[in-house]
Amino acid sequence: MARNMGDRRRQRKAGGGRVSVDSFSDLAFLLIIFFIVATTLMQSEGFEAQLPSATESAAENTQRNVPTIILESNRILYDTEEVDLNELRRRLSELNLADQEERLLIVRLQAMPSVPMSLYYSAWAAIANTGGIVVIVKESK
Amino acid sequence: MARSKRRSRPAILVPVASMGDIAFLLIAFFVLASRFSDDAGISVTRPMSEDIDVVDDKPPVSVIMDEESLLFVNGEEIVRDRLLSTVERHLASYDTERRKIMVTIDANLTYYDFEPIAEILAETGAPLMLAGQRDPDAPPPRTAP
Repeated sequence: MARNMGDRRRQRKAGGGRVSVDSFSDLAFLLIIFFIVATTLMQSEGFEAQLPSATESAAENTQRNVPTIILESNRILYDTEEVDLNELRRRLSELNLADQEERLLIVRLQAMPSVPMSLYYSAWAAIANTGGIVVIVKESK
Repeated sequence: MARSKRRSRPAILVPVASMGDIAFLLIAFFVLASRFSDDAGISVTRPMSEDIDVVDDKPPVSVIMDEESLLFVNGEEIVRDRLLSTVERHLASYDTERRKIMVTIDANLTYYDFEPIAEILAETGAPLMLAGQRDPDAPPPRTAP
């Protein structure tokens, strides 16, 4: 009799302390679902621009007849003639910059300090879309 | 009396012991493959243009100028005097092909705010990726080859 009771006590002690791991996979899948739902897949939009800085004289610049776009407040001037953005795109595409040599890809983009960034960005994007390269030119004195 | 035979149902056991391993491997994959956004919380309005497209490979270095003309490099606010050194430090750990800079300038700023930044970034020699946003109704741009 005593032996049976002792056996029962030993069994109770041996059976204690077990950790159930059945729900670990449920927890893991819940975490996965949380990360998938909470994650925002970001897509960046923009254009690539190489921005070399160069120093060249005004005389040399005139000889090469670089297309010049001047931005003033909210106006776009293409070789001193006022145009809108669509006309600018049309004139840039007429230059056929994609088929030109690298040295002929340069388009001068000048802007007054007060020009809004939205206009400057649109003009630069239009130049880049046709294959042109915008450069910062510091004229030597 | 003969007892009726009870058809014994076959025991169908689906081993689920490895599902926890699979789940944690998936979690590890997502954690390693994800790249946390550097510019979360920075208030910037990207300029709009029809001549831009989706950027496939996001550059490793991000320079942002927000609506208050504050500068951020990879989410960290810096002063203009330290822009060149900070950008070059970040670019140093990448090879030539990956050395690009993502530049985001708030659309409400002016060229006066952007020009000094452009001059500084031109000194790095790395190509710039100028971030903007497309008009969702605009047709896809005709990109030059």
